[in-house]
Amino acid sequence: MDFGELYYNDRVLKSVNSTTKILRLENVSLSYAKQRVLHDVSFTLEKGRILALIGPNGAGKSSMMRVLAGLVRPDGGHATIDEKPVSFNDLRHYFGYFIESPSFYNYLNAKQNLDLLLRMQHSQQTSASLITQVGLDYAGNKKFSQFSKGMKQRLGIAQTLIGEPDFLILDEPFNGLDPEVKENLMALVVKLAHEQGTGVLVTSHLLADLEQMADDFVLLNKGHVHLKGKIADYTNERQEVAFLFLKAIERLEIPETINVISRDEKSLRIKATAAETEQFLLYLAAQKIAPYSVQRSDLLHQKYMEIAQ
Amino acid sequence: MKALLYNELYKLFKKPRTYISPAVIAVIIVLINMGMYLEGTSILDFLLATLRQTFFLEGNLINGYLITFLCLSTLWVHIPILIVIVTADLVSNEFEIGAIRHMLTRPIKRSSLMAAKLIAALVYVTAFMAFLGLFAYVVSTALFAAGDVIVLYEGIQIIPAAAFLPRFLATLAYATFAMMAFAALSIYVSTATKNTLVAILISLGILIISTLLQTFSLGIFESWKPFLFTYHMTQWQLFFYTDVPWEDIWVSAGFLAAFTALFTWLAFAKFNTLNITE
Repeated sequence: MDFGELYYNDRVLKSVNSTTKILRLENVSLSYAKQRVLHDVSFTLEKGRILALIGPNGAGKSSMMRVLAGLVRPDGGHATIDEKPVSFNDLRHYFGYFIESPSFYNYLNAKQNLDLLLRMQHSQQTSASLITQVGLDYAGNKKFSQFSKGMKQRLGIAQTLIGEPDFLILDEPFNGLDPEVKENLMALVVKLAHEQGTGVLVTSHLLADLEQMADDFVLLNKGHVHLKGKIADYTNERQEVAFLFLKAIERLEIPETINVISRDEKSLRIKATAAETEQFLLYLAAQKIAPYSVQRSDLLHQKYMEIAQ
Repeated sequence: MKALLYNELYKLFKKPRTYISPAVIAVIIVLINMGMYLEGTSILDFLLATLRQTFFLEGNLINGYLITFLCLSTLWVHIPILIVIVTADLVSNEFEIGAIRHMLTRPIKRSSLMAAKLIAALVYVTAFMAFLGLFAYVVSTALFAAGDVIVLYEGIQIIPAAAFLPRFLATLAYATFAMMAFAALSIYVSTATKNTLVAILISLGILIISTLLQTFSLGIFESWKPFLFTYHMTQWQLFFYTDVPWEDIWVSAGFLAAFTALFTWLAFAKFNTLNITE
């Protein structure tokens, strides 16, 4: 079941307002126990844009994230920021790093947890302002042990903002979240990138989510860059979209602008762009009809499936 | 470094676990005092029955200083156990909850973080020993009058009442130093295992084995003694000899310093090369 696409939202429309800083990675290689996990990976991350790092399990996404976070040292390659060389160890100064399932101290509240990290980085920011930025004002004095999964993820995002980094690394930030919380968190990430000008590198195994929010993508396969480019170039083509419904949709009136391929009692196949699909989903929602599943196989999805199989 | 140390102390003293050990110590001290208050005379009569056949013992032998000494003597085995509950958790807990990645992805030096943790451990051990000494002294002297202390170590050792306090303070200082050696061991094990429970069990395992070897006083075991850290930890008793054997104390303190330095160095070396990506 995939309700993710139900939450396409105008708030996440892409717009780039800042490209003043550019991180360029060239020929990054990494080995674990003599086994090469990254092979000459090169890509560019710009401020104000969201770059999705995608690929099946074992593609090298997490390894790439760890290199950028300074947790592992690559065997080769180099990094530049605004064309100036920077060591991989020093990249930490430019990044805020979000780890899947962020962990804090259960016996401290949200503010106290952030204060520890603020103090560690000698930051002038306040925990209250960070908490406001991620919409957690109501829970600042609540112990971390009482946080829901969504609140924990938000606090995880808040800690990445310490030191006002130029770039954020978000490793699987939407895992295990219910659709509403996920949508809010995605909107927050988009806001950070497009309104505040932060460069965001994000991974998720939910391709639909990344297509929805990211500007650019790098598709990794077995440690190699398989494909990279702008998301829009791969999703704007009209592709077949299949809807399955639990209840009969015989009486559903489909707008004339929708290119219907086929329909029967509980299924519908149309040809649409990502934007048209989004509009149609909003139309269905207005009709109080919720599809059981939505499958849209755009070009990026096809490319992904080629290497995943 | 100051900020890191502040953070470590803040976490340490905010953590409920930190207060378990002092609470246990307080309960035991109160129980010892109650026991001595209610049954002290008969216990002492039983212990000194043989001695009374040879010597004429005059005055009240049960006094606040003796009970203070008894508290320290009785608790000596338990102190390392109670300390390791906190010190073995200092590094491994960060791995267990995953907070280590929040810290090490920031522009800080690993060695600074480890130094802050070791200093926090030193603060905790010192505070713990100070609490133990102060609580035992205050409760015992509140319930019993002051007096000379008679200790049976390789014969009869008599500590005049006026000399008790400086010797007791020296004992606490030495004991703190000795406990720091054990804390350094537990922090290294905590770093190596990344698991608090395993770190506690291994540290206590080493403590038990070393203590057992120390109790075997025959043949080859006798020659091992000077190399057992528990042997040097128990040398605090030397402060309660009528004539304090300073040379033995300095030798043991030197051994404990070397032991602490070794495990501190090992902890730094391990922490600086740890893989934190798992």
